[in-house]
Amino acid sequence: MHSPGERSAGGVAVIGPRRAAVELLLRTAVLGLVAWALWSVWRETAADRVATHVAFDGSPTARTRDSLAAHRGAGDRITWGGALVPLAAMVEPVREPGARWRVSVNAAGAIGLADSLGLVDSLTADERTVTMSAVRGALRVASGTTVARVVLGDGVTPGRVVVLGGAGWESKFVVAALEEAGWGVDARLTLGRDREVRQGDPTPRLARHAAVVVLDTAIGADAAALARFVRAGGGLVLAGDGARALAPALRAVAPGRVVASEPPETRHFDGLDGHAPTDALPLHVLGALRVDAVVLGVRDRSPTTAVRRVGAGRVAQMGFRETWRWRMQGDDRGQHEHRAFWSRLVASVAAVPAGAASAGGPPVPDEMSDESAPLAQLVHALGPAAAEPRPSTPRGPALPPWVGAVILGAALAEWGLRRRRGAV
Amino acid sequence: MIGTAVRLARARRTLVALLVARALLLSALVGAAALTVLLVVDVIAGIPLEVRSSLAAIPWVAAFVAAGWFVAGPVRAGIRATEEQVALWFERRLPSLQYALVTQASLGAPGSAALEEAVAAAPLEHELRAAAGAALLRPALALAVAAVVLALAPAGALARLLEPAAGDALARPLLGAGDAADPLATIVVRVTPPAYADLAVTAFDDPATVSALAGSQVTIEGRGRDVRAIRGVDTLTAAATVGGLWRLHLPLPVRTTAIRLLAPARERVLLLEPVTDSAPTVRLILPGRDTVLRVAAGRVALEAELLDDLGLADGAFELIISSGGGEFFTFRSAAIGAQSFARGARAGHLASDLVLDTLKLVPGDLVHLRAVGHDRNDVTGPGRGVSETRTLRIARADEYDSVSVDPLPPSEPEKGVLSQRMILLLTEELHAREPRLSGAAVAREARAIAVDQTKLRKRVGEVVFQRLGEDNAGEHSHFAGDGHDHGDEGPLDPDAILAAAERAANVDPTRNLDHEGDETPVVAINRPLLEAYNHMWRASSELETANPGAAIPWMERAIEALQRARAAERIYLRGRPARVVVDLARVRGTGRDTGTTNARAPRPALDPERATRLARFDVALSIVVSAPAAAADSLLLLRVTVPADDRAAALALDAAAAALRRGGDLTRPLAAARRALAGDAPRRAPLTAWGH
Amino acid sequence: MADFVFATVQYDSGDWDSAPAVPANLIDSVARYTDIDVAPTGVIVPLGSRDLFKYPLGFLTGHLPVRFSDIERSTLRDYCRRGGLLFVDDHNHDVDGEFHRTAWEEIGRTVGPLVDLPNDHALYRSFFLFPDGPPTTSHELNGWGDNLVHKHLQAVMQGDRIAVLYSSKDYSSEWNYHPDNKRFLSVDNTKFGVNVVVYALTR
Repeated sequence: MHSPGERSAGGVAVIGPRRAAVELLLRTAVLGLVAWALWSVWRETAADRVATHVAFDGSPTARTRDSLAAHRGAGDRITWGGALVPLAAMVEPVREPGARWRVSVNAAGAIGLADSLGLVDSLTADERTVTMSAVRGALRVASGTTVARVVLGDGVTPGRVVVLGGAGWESKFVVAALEEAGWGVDARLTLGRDREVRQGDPTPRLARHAAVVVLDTAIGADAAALARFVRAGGGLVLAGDGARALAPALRAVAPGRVVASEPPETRHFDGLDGHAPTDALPLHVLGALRVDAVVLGVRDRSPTTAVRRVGAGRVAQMGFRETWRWRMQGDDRGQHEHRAFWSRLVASVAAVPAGAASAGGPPVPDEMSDESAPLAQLVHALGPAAAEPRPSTPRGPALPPWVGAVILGAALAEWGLRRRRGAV
Repeated sequence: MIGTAVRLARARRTLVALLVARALLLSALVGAAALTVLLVVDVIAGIPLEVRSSLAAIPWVAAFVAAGWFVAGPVRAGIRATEEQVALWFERRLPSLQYALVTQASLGAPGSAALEEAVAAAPLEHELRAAAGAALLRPALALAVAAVVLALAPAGALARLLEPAAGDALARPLLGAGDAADPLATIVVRVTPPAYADLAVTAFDDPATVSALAGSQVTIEGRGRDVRAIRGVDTLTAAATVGGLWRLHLPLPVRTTAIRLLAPARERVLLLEPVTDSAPTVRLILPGRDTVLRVAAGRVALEAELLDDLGLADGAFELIISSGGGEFFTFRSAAIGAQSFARGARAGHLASDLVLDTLKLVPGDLVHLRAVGHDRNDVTGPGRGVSETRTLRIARADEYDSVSVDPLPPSEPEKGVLSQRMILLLTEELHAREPRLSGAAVAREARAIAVDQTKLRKRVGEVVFQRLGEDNAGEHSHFAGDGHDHGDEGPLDPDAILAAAERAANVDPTRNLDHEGDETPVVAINRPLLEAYNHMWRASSELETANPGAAIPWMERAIEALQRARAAERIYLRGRPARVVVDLARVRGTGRDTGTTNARAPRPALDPERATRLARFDVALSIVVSAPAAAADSLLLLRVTVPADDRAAALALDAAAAALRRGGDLTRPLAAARRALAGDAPRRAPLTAWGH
Repeated sequence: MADFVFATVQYDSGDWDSAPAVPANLIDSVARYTDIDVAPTGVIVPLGSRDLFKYPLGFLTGHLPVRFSDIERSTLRDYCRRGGLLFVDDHNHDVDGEFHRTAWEEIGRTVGPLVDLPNDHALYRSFFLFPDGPPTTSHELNGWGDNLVHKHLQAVMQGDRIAVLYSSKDYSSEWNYHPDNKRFLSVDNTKFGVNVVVYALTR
């Protein structure tokens, strides 16, 4: 018996065009609905991938930050927020005896510095640089709840300094200042008629000396050797009268030249009234600076000190004359300041001892890894801070409940039709 | 038979007395209770000295407040009570009276016989006695109990509360064996100053550092026994034990020394720091200046004042007479006007006369005069203070025309300094009162001071112009406000005036002179006076505009300039030596001998031990949490190694050690100590850092 | 202004100007034997003045009692602390004289105690060699003053540096003549003065 729409041909049911159309329609509906359901499920699944908002109550460690960045890289939605403030700390070794690191901090407000033993120091709004001589472990720099962590590595122990000059107050007190500051000094102070006062071995050698200080124009044949010393990596300070009337070899390495000279006795320490003590020193004004010269000090818009790199070394040219007056005629801090000035000037060009220049140093454990600018590093890793997203309203099931019933019904109907015509 | 009214009046008086007695008992009880509470708290927790000092009056205040309370209430009510109220009081207690007593009292006159009898039979006096017993017994018993408790407390414990004083830490009774087991838990240091100082014994509870007068004797005490002390490296002293206390006597060391106290279970460091006795300060008042005399005759009044921090012993005027010249000088010396001062005198005054006639002075002789004072320091002294020296010179006949022969009274600059100081004090006082005064009042007082300032300025100006040889017309040409018409008054130009004066004296002011600053005596003496003149002018201008605050700096500068003028006068009495200019071009390199090339020895670093001290500080920090007492000891030992001139580091270490002993937040003191040990970085560095 | 200016120190008491030719004589010697940039004439600077700090070597002499005022003491103390060197010479060459007694007292209480300077000190090798220590003066040899030949100079040391150099040898008399008269001497007796100057300028 055949259902309507079927015809029998040789014992084989022949499907009528209407029934075939219905079967095709049902099959298409089932397949379409299944495809739609799968697409809907896929879409919902994609939409429901992990979305995390992290609210920091302090700066995260590098490990936390990197972990979140890894999740983000894997496709998780990571946002963050919190009261982190811009803070960056930089540490550089100081090439002065005793003082081993200079810590520069960029942040607003008061800064606390701590090492593994506790608070080391604090900086006010006026101070942004501090020199430290002993720190245990990593240095933590805190502004509010934001903490930068910097690794100091090994300090630098500078070599000796050569001072070349004539016998006079400037030479005497420059040598004294450097020695009091802890520098090892070799010196040659000329007395005339081939007589001189010597200390140590004043022939500059990179293996022994970090820098040479020239206080006098009369260095003659030494000029070429000094230029070679600088190109090989040594430091050279052309100071006071030593900065003037340079020999050709030194003129080639100097950052500039003296363009004007103030006569002595034109300035006085009496009545400085809060001005810098160097305002009372006569000056050889520097000018015609080379393009690669960096000005380290200025008075009345005129450069007083300039430095430049020459080959592997550095040269500083300093125009202040008779700096010994700072020590003798300055106020009670003058002696200390004169000493620190010369130590810093020499340190700015001093050669780094062989083997101490490697930047990396030994690998540091994870907890010591560099976190010198927590906010910047966080933004770099996770993007800018975002407001915490509102919790999404609960949604119903991904597919309407009737979809399954319709698919099932259509599949059964299609199957029933095929059974009726005897197909399997 | 006694009448009812009399009995009531007596009863009323008795009741008032009873109330007063009860009030006193209760007040005493409140006071005793407060004292007992404090005692218990102190025994349990140990009240710090500063707190005990402020609590010492608490028992007394409590007792007085209670007495006031009771007097204001019950006693006052008792005094005001009428006889009817007294009668009612009896009626409530004796119902058998059936209001007979009240009736009698309210009538105010004898009533009926029945009433009289009822009242007469009533045991009013007995009732009063019973009431007194009931009212006083319980407070009295409570007071007795409190008294027994207080009486049983150790005497020192009560004294800690009633008369708290440094050094009573060991008087605190112990509850358990905690402190007794640790003989170093609480120590008291008593310092007996040297006898000459006449100072009382001072005590310190649990000090980390003791600063005392050099020569003092130090006693260190604590509870328990078996304590030894190590001074320096190996000087060991065992403490004596007396009545449950260990006690160490030692003299105060001559330099800051760490004493290590050793007990069986722990040790503790005490720093002893000697403070030196200051030498007397001596000021010679008369004669007020160096003087040149024509004739060595007459009397010179001598006067000096002396001050000392502890006590003066004696003082005198010393004089040295030098005769001769060239290479041959002879000297005589003497002391006159010697005077001893009473024990404890911290200020003294010397006065005498120098009779020149008896000194056999001849022209050219010099008499150097000064006052000298000694203190009573018999330990490290005696301290000797000396005044400035004044010189009296007998002029030679051949120099009468070249040397200014001056009288003895104070010079004009000296008088000027004194006057200017007075004006400055007045101005400072006005400036301090300025916020409380009206604008008009400030202006009035400022102008009054300005008048004095102007007078003084003119006097100084007159001195200068007289010296520079200007006549009265010249003087008048410089001063305004004197009735003459010469334009606006203003500051003078010292350079122009002095140049004119030197031109007048045929001296070329542009010549290269061999005096420092190219100054001749004329300039050196008179320039500061002219500067003082100008500063005074500025000061009076500010005062005229009612601005005393702005006038003060000018006055201070004027005083400073007057001081310089005074010094210059003393220096330049002798005139100028001959001046030789070497012809360097001619002699350069002409020496027959040659020197040698020689070696210079390097100077040591300023403080090579600084790094070592920082390392030791780090070690001390590493035990701050686990062993704060040991860390404090380490800091004190570190302090001994700090150079004597690094006072900031020493004080910072003291503060850090004290904070460690005290507990609480340690970050600031420890950071300060670390920074001080590392040395301050200069803040006025004119070089910016250059990256590496 | 020349690098080295010879400064005679003026003090309140005493005859600070008793050896007026010494500055020129030493300036002359420094110029004769060295190339040191020296000023042709000296200066006179008050001990109580801050101008003293312009001259890190000062020369003080006299016959009469030395009594410093408070300001002079304070300036001298600061001067030596900052690196100045004061050369004091007793023009009396008399250890019993008032200059010696009072100067020792003042220096002792102001800067520190004077101690004998060893005769092998760098001062005696700083330019000319004086292997036996300070050169003897004719005034010591002719028996004037205390009739002693002083074996040592004295000094107040600050660290390894001389802060005050004290002489009882009367170099003030020995060097107190016009520099042109050096030509009459077989041996220049001011050479030790050059050592003092070179020592001050280089140590």
